[in-house]
Amino acid sequence: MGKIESLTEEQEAKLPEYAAKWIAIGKDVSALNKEAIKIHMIGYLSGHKLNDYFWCGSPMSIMIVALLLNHDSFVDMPDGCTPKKPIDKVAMRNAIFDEDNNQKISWKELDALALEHYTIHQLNWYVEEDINKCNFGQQDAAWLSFYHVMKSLLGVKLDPRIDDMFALAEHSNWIKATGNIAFCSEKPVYITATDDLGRAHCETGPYILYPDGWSTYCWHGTQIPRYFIENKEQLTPGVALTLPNMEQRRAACEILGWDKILTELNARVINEDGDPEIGKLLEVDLPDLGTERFLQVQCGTGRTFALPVPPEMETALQAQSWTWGMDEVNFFKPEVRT
Amino acid sequence: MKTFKNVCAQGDVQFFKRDKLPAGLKQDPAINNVIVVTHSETGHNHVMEIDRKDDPAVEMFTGDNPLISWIKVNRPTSLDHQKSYDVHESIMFDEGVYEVRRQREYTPNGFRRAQD
Repeated sequence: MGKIESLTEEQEAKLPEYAAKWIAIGKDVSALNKEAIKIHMIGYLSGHKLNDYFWCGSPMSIMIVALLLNHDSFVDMPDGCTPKKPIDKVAMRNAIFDEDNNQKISWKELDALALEHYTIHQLNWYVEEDINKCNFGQQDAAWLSFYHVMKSLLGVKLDPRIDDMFALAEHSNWIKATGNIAFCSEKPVYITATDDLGRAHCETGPYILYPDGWSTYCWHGTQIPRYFIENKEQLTPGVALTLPNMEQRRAACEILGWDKILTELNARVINEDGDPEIGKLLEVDLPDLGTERFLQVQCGTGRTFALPVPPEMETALQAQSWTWGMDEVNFFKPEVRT
Repeated sequence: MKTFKNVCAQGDVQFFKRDKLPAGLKQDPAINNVIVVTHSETGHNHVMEIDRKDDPAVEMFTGDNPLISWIKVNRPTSLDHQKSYDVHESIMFDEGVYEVRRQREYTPNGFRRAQD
């Protein structure tokens, strides 16, 4: 099949139907269709039938449960893979699940159980490493919609398991298959409305909440800590500007409002370039840290970020050049910035 | 799609067209048919597709400085941002050698790569 260079008018006219279908799948909060999941997992695994299914209350719970019940599978864990205290798998299973393999304890209780056996460092490492090994599911609706259009609308030949992946997205949430066992998350209890651009966003509570109480908070598509929303008194201008992740720093600055940050931190404009993509050099007084300089700059997507820069910076252009490891003589403003 | 001649930027990574690759670099392998020009801790990587393994459209090289890499574009290839919102628009690269610089920020101990 040759490269598809353009769509026909008829094909373009059908795209909104695909978008509506997959947005509905992505936002579905109905119960899992457990029988459909079992059938399509066999197809997805090319005929391999799993022995056991455990039904968990959230995606985070499937990760933690998979670790607690299959701890001997994870050999690369830092600090050694051995749990702090031995795990009796039968007792652990009975502590977490009822006789129908449904999770019976809350996320908080499961988290406490995990911390009895592993350090927070081990748990963080494991979740970050292993989360990408989960199957396709509802959470991948955006990617699967693309493949659905390719297959059904444009006739592109894909892996034969793609229909099982479409069905799993419709009927399941996150699934983690390990050995002969699958750990499946229930769908969320609710997903709040998105912002005007369709990004995950909620200003008053969690963006998404799962049945076992695990939730996550989002600000215009950026995942943020719970306290940004629930304990706003902890989110001070000083905290916002010193967050290590610049997307979260930007979100925190937006939540607080730049006016408040600049006023409360007694910000002085040291130098302002006429080009907002080169930015504005600010000096602020950070509580406990003293005087710091920041480059307030607009990126190619139009959002405003703040980057800490060395105290000896005197102009926005010098600071902008420094962030790229150059001096302003050798720095060239990009012809294209996106 | 946007194009450029000498200098372009996509989010926190900037590209400078150069005459040739410096000596002493090591080639970075492609993963799942793409080179990851800049890793993002939230998975929103900036990537280029190699197209064919035996005749890659683009190759990536690194030296000692973790903030600088090099790419050799053998056929026109786009730089894409793997994100479904607030996405940095793709940029088309012509054949050639490009120095890749990742943005950094100041810390009291020196500097670190700007993390997103």
